[in-house]
Parts: sequence; C-alpha cells; structure tokens
Amino acid sequence: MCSVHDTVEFEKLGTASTTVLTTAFAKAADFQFRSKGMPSHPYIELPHPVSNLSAIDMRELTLRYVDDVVLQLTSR
Amino acid sequence: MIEQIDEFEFFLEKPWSDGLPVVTPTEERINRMLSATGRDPDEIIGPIPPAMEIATVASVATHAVMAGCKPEYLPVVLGATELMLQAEFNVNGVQGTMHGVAPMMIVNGPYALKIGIHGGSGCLGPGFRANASIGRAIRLILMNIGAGLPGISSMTVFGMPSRFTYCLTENTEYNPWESLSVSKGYSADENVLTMAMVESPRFCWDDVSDEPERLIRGIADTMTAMGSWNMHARSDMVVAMSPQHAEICEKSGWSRDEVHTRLIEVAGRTVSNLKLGGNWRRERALALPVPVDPDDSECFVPTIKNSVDLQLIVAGGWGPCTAVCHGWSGGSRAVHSSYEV
Repeated sequence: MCSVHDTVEFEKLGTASTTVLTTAFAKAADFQFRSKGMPSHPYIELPHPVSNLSAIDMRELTLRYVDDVVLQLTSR
Repeated sequence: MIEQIDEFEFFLEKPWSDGLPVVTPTEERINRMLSATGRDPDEIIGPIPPAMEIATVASVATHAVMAGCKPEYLPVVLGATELMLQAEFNVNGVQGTMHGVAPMMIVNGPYALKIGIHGGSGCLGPGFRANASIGRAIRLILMNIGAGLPGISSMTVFGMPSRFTYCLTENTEYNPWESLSVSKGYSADENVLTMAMVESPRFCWDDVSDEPERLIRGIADTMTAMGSWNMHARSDMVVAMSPQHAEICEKSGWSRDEVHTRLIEVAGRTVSNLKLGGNWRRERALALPVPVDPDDSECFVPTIKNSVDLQLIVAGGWGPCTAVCHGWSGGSRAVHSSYEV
C-alpha cells in the first residue's frame, strides 16, 4: 500500500514511477490508485506468491518483467 | 406514503458497519457525544489510510456513537485515533496487509477506571461496554473513513476476531507491579494509551508451575512459533500475565523488569528449528537487527529483538493463564502517549 502511495507522490513530483505487486494485491492497488486520484495508473502485476521463490526463480521472474517496467516508466 | 426505513438495515446495507448493527448516529446522539469534549467538532485529527479521508472530531464522535460508546468514552477514542496515525505505527500498511493484526489498545491511568474499561476476568471477551465499544469505534473508523475493507483495499486472509474490537486496561486491583505506562516513564496518575499491532492472543495455560523460572519458560515457548513474524522480523508482542501467574513471580521476589528481561532472554528458537518450516528465509535472518548466523544451526534467534517491543502487562481474572499476542512483519512499531480528558 505504501508502494502505491510512493508511486503517486513521485508522479506528482514529475518522476515517472510504477508499482510492482502480485495478483493478490491488484484489487487493493486499484482502490488505492483510484482514491489517490490516479485511477488509470499502470502497475506491474506478478503471479502470486513471490515470497517463497528461490533467488534463481526470482531472477528469472524479474527478467521476464523488466521490459514491462521500463516500458511503463518511459512511455508516459 | 413514505415507506418506513429500517435504520439498522440501512446502515448494514451501505455497508457502514462491521457486520453487526450500529447505533444510528442521529444529530442528537452525536451532539450528546460531542458534549464530552471541549474540542471543536471541525478540528482535524488526520487522514485515515488507505483512503486518506480526513477524520475530524465530529466524524470520530459519529463513529463512537455507532460503536455504542458512552460520551465519556470519546476522549479515549479521540486519543487512540490520533495515536494510531503516528507514522511508525504504519496503519497504512496494516490496512492492506494479508495478515490479520489489529491495533490493541492498552489504556492505563485513572480515567480508564473511571469510565469502566475492564482489566479483570474476561477483559478480552464480550460483556464490557467500554472495552467493546471503544475498540469497535476504532475499527469502524478504519473501515468507514479509512476504507480498510476486506477484499477491496484490505487483502487480509482471515482478518481476526480482534479486528472487531481490541481494548483493555490492566488488572489494577491485583497487579503486583507498576503498570505498563509507569514502566514507560509516565506517572501513575497520567492517562496513557499504548497501541500495538498484534494478533489475537493465544494462551500459555500453566497450572503446574509454582516458581518463576519454569513459568517463564512456558510463557516464552508460547512467544515463539515458526509461523510467527516475531521470529523473522523485529516486531512487537504483548504478554498479558494473569494476576495468578504474576503472583508466582512476585512472591519469589521478581520485579516486573526481571520478568521482562528473563522472557526476552529465553524466548526464541535455534536456526535449525526455524529452518524446518514457517517464514524462515536466509535474507530475513541476515536482515535482523540482532546477530544471527544462518549457517550456525545452534544459533539462537530471540523472539524479541529490542526490549521496548515487549509490552508486558498484568490483566485478566484469577487463573493459571498468560495471553501472548504475536506481532506483524516488522513494519509497525508500538506507540504510546498520554491523552486529553
């Protein structure tokens, strides 16, 4: 939840920002972006969970999504 | 012809309740509630996460009415609302977490007794209006002003019964030691709130121990679990000893400080045990604010990483029971302050 707030505050300061979360938190993120006045702000949605991934699996997941992160930060 | 509205169904359907009927917040009731404070109804208390809608004295009073509070409870509700917005308490995080911790309110000082907050038999269960309604007011504020709603903004897996209400005082009649607030440096006649983000309690039931060391070993065991965040992060914990358990220690000459210290010394698990299940991760162990060697199987990982995190109180009725309330994942620090009456 803090991540969404941080993203919004960075955007207000003119710094492109996005939030990386898992599917279990998507509804909460939608609510938070909506209540903070940025209802259509994009975010990165990873498959849930990530907390039990090994370091190797986490690296593989990161590599799978890093281009999406870059796209969201540079396309707006 | 205007169809009569069922006021209870109206609020239940909105939904503006915790699932139970609320007291209809009429203007008359709100004004009666506000008569218990000299504060301006429009005074801003602060934004309630995650919706960040602004709580005012009036909106807090409205929720106190809805919760079933008497007007004299309002100062405690106002004090708790202000206190829980301190940054280190991290209401924002808890409102969204998958966990189920709730803000436990420990109310010390003469005003708690005056308005009937209960710290004796059954104090964490139903039956006591002040305990039930003050804690409930805080939850309704978190839900209605903060929009901490399960499945919408809150991803809590189970919630917890303590998310209905979680408020008590200590058993002042049978507490052999100083209160929690006095231990924190307040005077005994100050009205003080301590709030900690903790789970519903689990019990250490011990009707065998008759000396402190064995008793404390059992309580310390209840303070540990593979699946407890206290083992894997710096986190708060509330330990509520019954007067009977406290007396065992006190009669052997143990002070509150000595019990507190000994619990911290013995509550914990070895690395080899923690690796078997639960939330163990190497990175988490290395990030702890106490030295833990994840490659040393006999390395002892204490439950309490900082002595200020153990909130030790004496509460409940007479019986061989201590209630232990585990904490959250390291993102919230217990807070305390005096409150205005």
